[in-house]
Amino acid sequence: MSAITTQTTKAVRRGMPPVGVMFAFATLGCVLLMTVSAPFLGVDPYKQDLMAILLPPSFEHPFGTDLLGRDIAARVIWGGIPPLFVGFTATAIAVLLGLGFGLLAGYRQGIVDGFLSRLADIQMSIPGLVLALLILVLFGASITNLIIVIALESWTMHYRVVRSQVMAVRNLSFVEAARLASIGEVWIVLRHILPSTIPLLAVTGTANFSQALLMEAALSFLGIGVQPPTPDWGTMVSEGQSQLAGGWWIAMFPGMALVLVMWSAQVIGDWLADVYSVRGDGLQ
Amino acid sequence: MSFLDISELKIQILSRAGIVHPVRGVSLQIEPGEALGLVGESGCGKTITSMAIAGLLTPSATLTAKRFVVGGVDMSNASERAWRNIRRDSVGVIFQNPMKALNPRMLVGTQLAEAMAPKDRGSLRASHMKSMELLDSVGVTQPKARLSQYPHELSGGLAQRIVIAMALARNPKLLIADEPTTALDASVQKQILDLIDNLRKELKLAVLMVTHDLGVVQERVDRVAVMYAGRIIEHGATDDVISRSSHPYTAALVAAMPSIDRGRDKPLQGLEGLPPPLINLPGGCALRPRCALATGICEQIDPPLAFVERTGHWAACHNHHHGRVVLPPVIADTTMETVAPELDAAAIMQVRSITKVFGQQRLLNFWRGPRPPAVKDVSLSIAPGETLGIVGESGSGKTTVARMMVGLEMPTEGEILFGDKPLSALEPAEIGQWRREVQFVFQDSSSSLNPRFTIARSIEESLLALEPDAQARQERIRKLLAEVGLTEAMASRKPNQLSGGQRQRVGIARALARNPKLMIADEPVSALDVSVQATILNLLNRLRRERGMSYIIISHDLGVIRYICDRMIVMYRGDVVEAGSTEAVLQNPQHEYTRRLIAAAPNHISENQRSTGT
Amino acid sequence: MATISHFKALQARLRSPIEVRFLLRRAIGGLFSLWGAVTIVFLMLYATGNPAEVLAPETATAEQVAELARQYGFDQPIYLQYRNFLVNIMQGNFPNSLYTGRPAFQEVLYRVPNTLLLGLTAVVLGALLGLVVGYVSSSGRSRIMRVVPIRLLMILQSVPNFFMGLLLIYFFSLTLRWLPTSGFSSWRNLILPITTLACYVAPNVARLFRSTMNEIRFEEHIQTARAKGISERAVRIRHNAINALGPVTTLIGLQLGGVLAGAVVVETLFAYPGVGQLLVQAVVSRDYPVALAAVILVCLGYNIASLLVDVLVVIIDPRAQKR
Repeated sequence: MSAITTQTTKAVRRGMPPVGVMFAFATLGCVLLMTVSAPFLGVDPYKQDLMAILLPPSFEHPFGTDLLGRDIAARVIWGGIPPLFVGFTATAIAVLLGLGFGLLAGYRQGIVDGFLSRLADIQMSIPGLVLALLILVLFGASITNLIIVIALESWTMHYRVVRSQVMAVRNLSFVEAARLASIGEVWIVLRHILPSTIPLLAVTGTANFSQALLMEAALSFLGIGVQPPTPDWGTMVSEGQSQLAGGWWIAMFPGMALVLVMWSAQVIGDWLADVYSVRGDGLQ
Repeated sequence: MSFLDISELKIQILSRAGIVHPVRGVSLQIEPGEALGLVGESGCGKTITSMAIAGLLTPSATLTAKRFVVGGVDMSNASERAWRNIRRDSVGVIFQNPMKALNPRMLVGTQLAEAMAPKDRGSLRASHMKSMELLDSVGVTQPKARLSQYPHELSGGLAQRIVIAMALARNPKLLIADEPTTALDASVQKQILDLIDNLRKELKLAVLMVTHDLGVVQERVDRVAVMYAGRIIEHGATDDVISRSSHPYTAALVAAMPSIDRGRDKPLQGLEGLPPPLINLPGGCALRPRCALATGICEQIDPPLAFVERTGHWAACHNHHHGRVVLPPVIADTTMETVAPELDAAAIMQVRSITKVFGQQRLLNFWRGPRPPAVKDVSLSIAPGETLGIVGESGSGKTTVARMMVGLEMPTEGEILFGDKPLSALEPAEIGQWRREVQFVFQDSSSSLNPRFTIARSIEESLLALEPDAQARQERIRKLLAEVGLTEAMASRKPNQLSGGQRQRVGIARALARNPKLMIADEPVSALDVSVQATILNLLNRLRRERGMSYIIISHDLGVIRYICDRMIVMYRGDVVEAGSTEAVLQNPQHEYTRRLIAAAPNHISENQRSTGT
Repeated sequence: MATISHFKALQARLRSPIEVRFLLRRAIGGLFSLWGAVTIVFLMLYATGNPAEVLAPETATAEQVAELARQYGFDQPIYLQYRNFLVNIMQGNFPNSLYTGRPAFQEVLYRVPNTLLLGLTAVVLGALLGLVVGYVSSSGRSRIMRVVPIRLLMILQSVPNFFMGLLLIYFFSLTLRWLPTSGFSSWRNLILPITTLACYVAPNVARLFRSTMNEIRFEEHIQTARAKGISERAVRIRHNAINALGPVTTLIGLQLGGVLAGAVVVETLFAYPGVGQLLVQAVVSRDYPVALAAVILVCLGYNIASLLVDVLVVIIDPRAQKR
């Protein structure tokens, strides 16, 4: 009966992405563009104007001003730099670590696999944010430490996915055929095994990105990430918390920026998972 | 009155590519106590027909029928509730894979109770008694212990018995068996078929047996209906249909079946090509592109199912001329001339009492104890020009032996010799020679080719180490494709654009690329339909004759071994229990297990039946 | 066949799906992970240079630091330090809080019930919400029922929990003035934090439950159940839905870390006196003994929770214990 229910072909799925996904790409693109071009827009996130404190959104200050009279719009544009930078860098490092270790463990198996997998188990037995708090408090809060902490925290996700994929593929007949054809081990990994992990990594990578973003924002919100006065979405939401009654806009706009990015990443991730028929929730 | 009476059943499925017509006008009747076989190859619509009869179609499928009567009730426009009542009171279903047909989360006892009538499961005690009775009737040993087991703790045969017990729980009048033995080992197959047979006689059940294997059907059912491309193309008394086929497709199916009773001089006859996709099917006979007898009229008119006088059954063909169809003789190319093996020459490879124990030591895994060996003290040797068959059930260790011979597994004990040197002592140059001269053909044609590679690239990989010149490699690939009967256009395709038979040909071409002296093929045809199977077996025979290679063929099918191999060994739970010339082993089996295996092999079409008829 | 007593019949139907071997293996694995976590904490503490200096108050004199080092064995060679560290933790023997002066572990344990109350309620409610929405979106009668609730829930997925909490405070506390913003004086204080945390759990549960239910809807064993002639509703619930709980439970297990992180954030946001808030306070105020004690206890709790989840998974799908 399964043949009947799964009539959809890959060819059909691989067309243009649906409207929602296009919209998500556009949203993410816009936010990225704004953030990257922040230094060139001529807006100053630090400029205080004590004559204009706690102003609600207006034509002059589209997102309003905060307690020090700083323009929220300018701060939101600049505030994307830390989370997006941390998000991308940490994800890239985590993906590379997970891919490398996953290929190694899945292909070599044996002791290497035992060691790396136990390490991953231990890593996963410490809740992410708690480990991050510990490291940041012992070694100080800086962007670099944030990146390291988040990357260390999330490599296991890619590791597990890559490892199980490699273990599944390495015993498939076509890989064994390559081995019988005297193709070198390195070539087998590069030609036959690595390509099959790319779709998986596209999915876990997207999931990782939104998690990293969330973690950076949460740490900054708790006051252990990016320190004020540096503009940062998480820090700004935290600053807005105390002014919630008098100025909802201080927390609202950076918060919405976070929601937009997270939403786009999630929609794109779901779409990728659908296209490659991969489960993005880490359950294989 | 027939218990089941269906006329002009049509099923449509809405898919993104268009409307699929998996069933295009099927009529069936089954009387109580009668068994009807519904036979056809994969994708012919037999399973979906049987599911429609149980009212178990998925919502994407819609059904129309001129008449659809089950147990005297008109079901053509029945509600879901009416279907449920029919299923509850008069229809039992047995599925193909018993391990999947039981809910993994529930105890056997709970699942059995669920199938019972309210009076039987009124109390725990009542349902317990009924369960014991049911399990007893389907021949389950230790029924009480089974009740508190989970499905994953059962063997396949046992699980299938329990599925049958569930189907019988409410005393149905119709039993639908969808490939009930395909997932089981040969010796278990026979027991399950016997069980269904006995139940039918005892309980006066109407049985619909869906299968791809004419041999399974032959001695078990009274009538057989052969399906092709969503229609019944031949229908009649089983022996009539098989021995005096009036449709070229049935005739080809019969001619394609390897059998232990079949002489090696009688070549198998396969059916080239593929069944048509059932979207936007053009007019005319659906078999036309594959049919050796097709004429102009076949292109215009789809022949209706009509009574054939001289054979006494129904067939849908323009060319039976009111009698048995005669297929054109097989091209001489595929006939099997025995190549005399050079037995006095030195063996290509020898296996000397090897043993293999699986299971690497893992951390935190120490209390599991030693595992039983997969292969125990096996020896064999293969001479130039010789063909050796290794036969056994799943888990008998036959594949492991083959894999050790090409170095995909390492023996735990014993040694394997290439020429006269152990594999472990080969010089690098000799390793190269071994890797060239001994080639392996994989079983599963869907994973034996990298889905991302074109066919040419897959074959090229095998040539990389031998042929440094890219131009020459492409030339070799062209020749190889032609040699295994594929067109040049295939070279640029990806594996998912090929049929199973074509992929297996590519697998063979890849092995041939290195000009082997010995080709080891692991279940080379088990994943293929019978008609395609025959074309691959013929190809193997032809290649052997042209190239003078030696073969080791691993198979669970005695018919396949008989058709290709001079010599055979029988493996059972890692042991070689019998070895000798194929004829001798099959004629005069010495070991109890071999005898069971031969008895269990579906009694294929015997010689006299094949030659009788008009 | 002989008749049989009720008790015997019941006995045949009752069988624990959990094997002792699985429990043993899983427990050893958990202990190993816990050991690893503690070791990592130790290594990090050691990597800062002088652990005693970290654990002592900033105002401590050199003698006081040396005294503390002697007391907890930080003046010994590293392998002895490590042994002492493990032994001290097992005995709950740890430096006092730098602020309250009470033993660090006691400080943390005091807060554990509050966090358990918050976390457990939120996970249970969130999972229930997710299951209901997932079931409706897979088996609802009308298209609206199948599409709208899950879409709404999925939007929540992209709202960071601290922002979610802030929005809830803004609407329900500041604008509508229905609920208190912070503290823990009555059950009304619990509503907003629990809602925030439950909103993190529910969307993923709903989505996975729906997709698993749809995936297995026409699997052979579910078709077998239909073939028995039991009602479609019974098939849906007893076979389709309950069988789909396995992956969902596994997912909840994987999300426990996220729930914990969420609890830390939510407790801080709502000034709820739980372990998370204590941890953040300790980190911000550099109260290292309390911070380390909290980290270690959180790891312990986390490991116990994932053990329980794994056992639950096995109850739902007994095959899960075969590896």
